[in-house]
Amino acid sequence: MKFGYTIIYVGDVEATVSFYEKAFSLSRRFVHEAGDYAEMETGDTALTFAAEAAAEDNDIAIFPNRSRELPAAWEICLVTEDVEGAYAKAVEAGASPVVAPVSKPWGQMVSYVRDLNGCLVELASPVAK
Amino acid sequence: MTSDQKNYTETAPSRHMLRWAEQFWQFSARDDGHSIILPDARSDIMFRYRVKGRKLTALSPIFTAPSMEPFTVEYAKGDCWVGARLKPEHTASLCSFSPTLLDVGSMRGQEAIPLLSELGVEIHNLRDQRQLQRALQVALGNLPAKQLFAWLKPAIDRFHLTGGRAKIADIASALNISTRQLHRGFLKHVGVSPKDYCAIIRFHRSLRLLERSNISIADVAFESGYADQSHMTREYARFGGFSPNQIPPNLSLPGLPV
Repeated sequence: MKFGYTIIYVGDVEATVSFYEKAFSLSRRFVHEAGDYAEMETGDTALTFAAEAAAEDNDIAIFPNRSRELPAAWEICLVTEDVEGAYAKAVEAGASPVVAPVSKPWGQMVSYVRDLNGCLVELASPVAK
Repeated sequence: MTSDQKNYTETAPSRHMLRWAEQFWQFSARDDGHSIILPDARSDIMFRYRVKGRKLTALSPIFTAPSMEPFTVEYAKGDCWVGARLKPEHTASLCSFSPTLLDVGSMRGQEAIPLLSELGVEIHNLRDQRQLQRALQVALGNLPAKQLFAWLKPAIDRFHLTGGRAKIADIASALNISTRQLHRGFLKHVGVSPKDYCAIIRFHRSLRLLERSNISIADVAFESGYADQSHMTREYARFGGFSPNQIPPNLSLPGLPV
């Protein structure tokens, strides 16, 4: 099996795409004209956003991502050499700080924010191989 | 698709009508038969009629309040219905004209004519099918705008998004209200309790899964949020009068947002 892509169901796809561009320096690959689906330019394994209504169309029931509530028990991790810069930029753009950049025993710099929908986003340095 | 499903069509409301209506729907009986109307926690305004030449005959207005039970409609070839399904938060608007509507469940024919009149539609003015559609719109437009709690529509949306599976206490706290407020607000505006509303959503979602998802009944029960298959069977008996492995072909399945 190949890990295909991630879809995050959100209230406002366009707002989420704009947020990810501003906060995390990602670029949009495309936004579907109906505004119900979008892909970010993240290489082969796409990070994508879909409107919550799309979940219902697909017959799945979900707990909505909301910034004022507890996040779901998963995260996406964006890897960068400059974690401190990335973290500052994200918070500046409106991401909620969770854990400021901290150095881990195994030599990785790790930080956590939550995006506009309350999803956990880890900003971390590459793991030394 | 059953033949009944072909007799039944839905039309999305215009922007203006979206304020009140979830769907406009039509049903034309091509043969004698009967159809099971499943409870959907919504009110409807509708006309039952027949057409002779181009004129309406046997015209009867019908108002229905949210029900928690299935209802079987008998029809003869040529019987027609056209209706508007109200958004769940507007049940109170309709029932404010007729305090007993919620209790009795429906008003039909003669007894419904005064209510129709209060909503700005005089039945004797209705001569052809096109006028019926227009009459529904007039009636909807004359529904009184009630002050809705700010949390009501988000609550309804959340119940649908979560497939009726989220705990009611969690929904309430996510909206910063108490379960008591949620309960009372729902009874007041939607005409059913949050618990019943969730049960209806769960029922409709599980029906869709059975119809479309190609997973087993046991898996549908699990995914729908039933405790087990017997729980599902009990709720199917309650809301449909049938069991999950014997779904009748003549169901009227509204295109509910589940």
